[in-house]
Amino acid sequence: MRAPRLACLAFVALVALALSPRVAHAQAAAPAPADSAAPAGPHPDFDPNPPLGIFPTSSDALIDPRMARSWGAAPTRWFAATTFDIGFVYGRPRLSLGYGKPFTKWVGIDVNPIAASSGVGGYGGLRLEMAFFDLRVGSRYWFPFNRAYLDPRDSYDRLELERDFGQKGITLTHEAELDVSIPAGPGNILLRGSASYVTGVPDDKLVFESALHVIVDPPFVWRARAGYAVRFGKYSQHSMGLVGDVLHVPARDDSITVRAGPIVRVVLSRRVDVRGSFVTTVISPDRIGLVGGDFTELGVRYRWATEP
Amino acid sequence: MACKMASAHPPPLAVALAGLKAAHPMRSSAAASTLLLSVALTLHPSVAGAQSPEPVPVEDPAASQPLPGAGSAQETQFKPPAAPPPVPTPSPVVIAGEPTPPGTAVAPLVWQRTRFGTFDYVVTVAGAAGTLAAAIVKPRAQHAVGPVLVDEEVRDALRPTSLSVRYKFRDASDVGLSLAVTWPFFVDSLVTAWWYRGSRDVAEQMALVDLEALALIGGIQGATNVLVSRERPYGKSCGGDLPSDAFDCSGSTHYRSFFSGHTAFAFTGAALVCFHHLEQELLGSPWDGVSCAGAYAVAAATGTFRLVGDVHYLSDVLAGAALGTIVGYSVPLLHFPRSPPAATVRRTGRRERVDEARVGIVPTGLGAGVAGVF
Repeated sequence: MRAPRLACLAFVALVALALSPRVAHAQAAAPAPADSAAPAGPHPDFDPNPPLGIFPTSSDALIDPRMARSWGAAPTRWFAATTFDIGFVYGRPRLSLGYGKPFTKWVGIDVNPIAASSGVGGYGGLRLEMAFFDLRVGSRYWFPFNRAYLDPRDSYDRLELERDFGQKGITLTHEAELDVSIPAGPGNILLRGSASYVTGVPDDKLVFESALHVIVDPPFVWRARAGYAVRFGKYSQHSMGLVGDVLHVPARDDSITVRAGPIVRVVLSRRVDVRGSFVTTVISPDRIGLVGGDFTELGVRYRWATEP
Repeated sequence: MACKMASAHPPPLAVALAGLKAAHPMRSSAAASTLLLSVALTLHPSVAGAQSPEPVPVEDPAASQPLPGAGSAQETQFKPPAAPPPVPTPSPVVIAGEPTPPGTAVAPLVWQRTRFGTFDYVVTVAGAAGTLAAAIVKPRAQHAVGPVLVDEEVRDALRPTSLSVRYKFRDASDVGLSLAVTWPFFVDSLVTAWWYRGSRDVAEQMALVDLEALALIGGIQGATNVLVSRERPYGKSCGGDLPSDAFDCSGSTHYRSFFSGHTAFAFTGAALVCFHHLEQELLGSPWDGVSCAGAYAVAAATGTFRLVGDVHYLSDVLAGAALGTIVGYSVPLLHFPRSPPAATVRRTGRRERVDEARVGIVPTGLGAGVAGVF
């Protein structure tokens, strides 16, 4: 029971932080979900020359049902931006430094620490985001609080992940990932492909990769995702859909893991959106339960970026 | 504009007086009624129908257009952060994120209870500190008794033989906990109260009250956990079908059975969802009732999954459900009504709300008298 209590406490702390006046009020211009959620045409209230600044203005509210502002509106420039994801229970602040239009079309670097109930880590890499695709290349370090390296087996059950085998399953994963979003009909076709190279694992061991949520025999893991999300809302800013994942671990007897599930995003302004996903395992060589899924359940994303 | 409209055109005194008779009984028993209705997971159609605003269709062009000269609802809510803006009271009438046109038969969303104050901050911090301390401190060495009453019988009936299946139910209970704890903040406060109904003030107050309740139940549960130090049901299996090096068996984790934290948090969250929906009429009938029932369904499933997962006895789960419900309702109820609850007045098909005490001189048969709504 200690873990859930700590998780609840951490979550409460995160929410308290989010509720603090400084965070709630102080914002600079920033992000909308890759502005893939931007309205199709200019909103009647949209000011083409908005008084952009560090703080919200009447035309740039924290919660803006009109979706009157877009990250794509400001001119191309050098910028710093942050994205802060919180949920139960994780906190994932990201810092982006780059050139272009933040969260819309830009090139630069991404750095983010990762804090979750199961461990801590960090990611750093290069990023190129354009209208319909988003490319990331970088490395991720992960230090689990409990989970250890695993002895080779054909299949694992949950108990293997819940035992203290001594050596913690620390990993350093180099990864390239390409996300594509293609408008089609009332929504978007979502595609993702990634290649991961897992290092830091002893030769005769396997490891549970925390971001991919799969047991890996290093070094390679391939991943592909396809799905479709329907847009809805007055400005087509929200989306809801289904995605399917396929993961392939070549060194582990070509093992295949298939996951599928719903995703949803409710965009409250260019700064804030609420996200949910529950992409759970359908086919897997292992029986590790929901930890083998890729879900955030419910979370909030907050964005910020410097303005010209 | 909607804000100005609401405050600049208060209901006439005569209308307020007409509502006095109807308002008083509701005021005196509103809290208890809300609690009882919610616990029973029933929402009487006549009550819901009488108090719930009818949502304006999102696609209604009239409703979606900003009001002339309004500049937007946000102008009344968001100011530069150097000086936090005064709370707009009442907040604009917003449905589906859009200001409604004049004459819309919907009451603005207004926080009508005592605002979150210093004492509440103290309670919240103390609860959070207690939660943290209890997570660090090991349960006392003298362990309490194991199963009581029908605990063992229920365990035998529900416990799957497969360890893998038991883990699945435990995972499912984690999902239930996650939903129950995040929903009041992300969906009810942020999306529903702030975005959908356009009231940042109510959203903030709701979220703070939610924080207070969850911190409090965390502190109570943690302290009880440490003091009671009851062994979990699966503790008997440690060294058997559960290896002694399993995380479940190592350390003090398996002496934290009483009472179920998952269940307590989930029921606290469910009570908060019910309270806010039923009092604030966030979505209108029948969706407030559906939200309440759904929250309790998730909480009940979470508790059941803890039983099936062999992590708790029935008595742990029942105690968690009871205390979670009590705390989840008590904390918002103890933020006593700040002003008389709304007197719902029906007149020519419009609903108007009396948010302030009003006193006036009215003619009587022999002269004049004083009458008011308090």
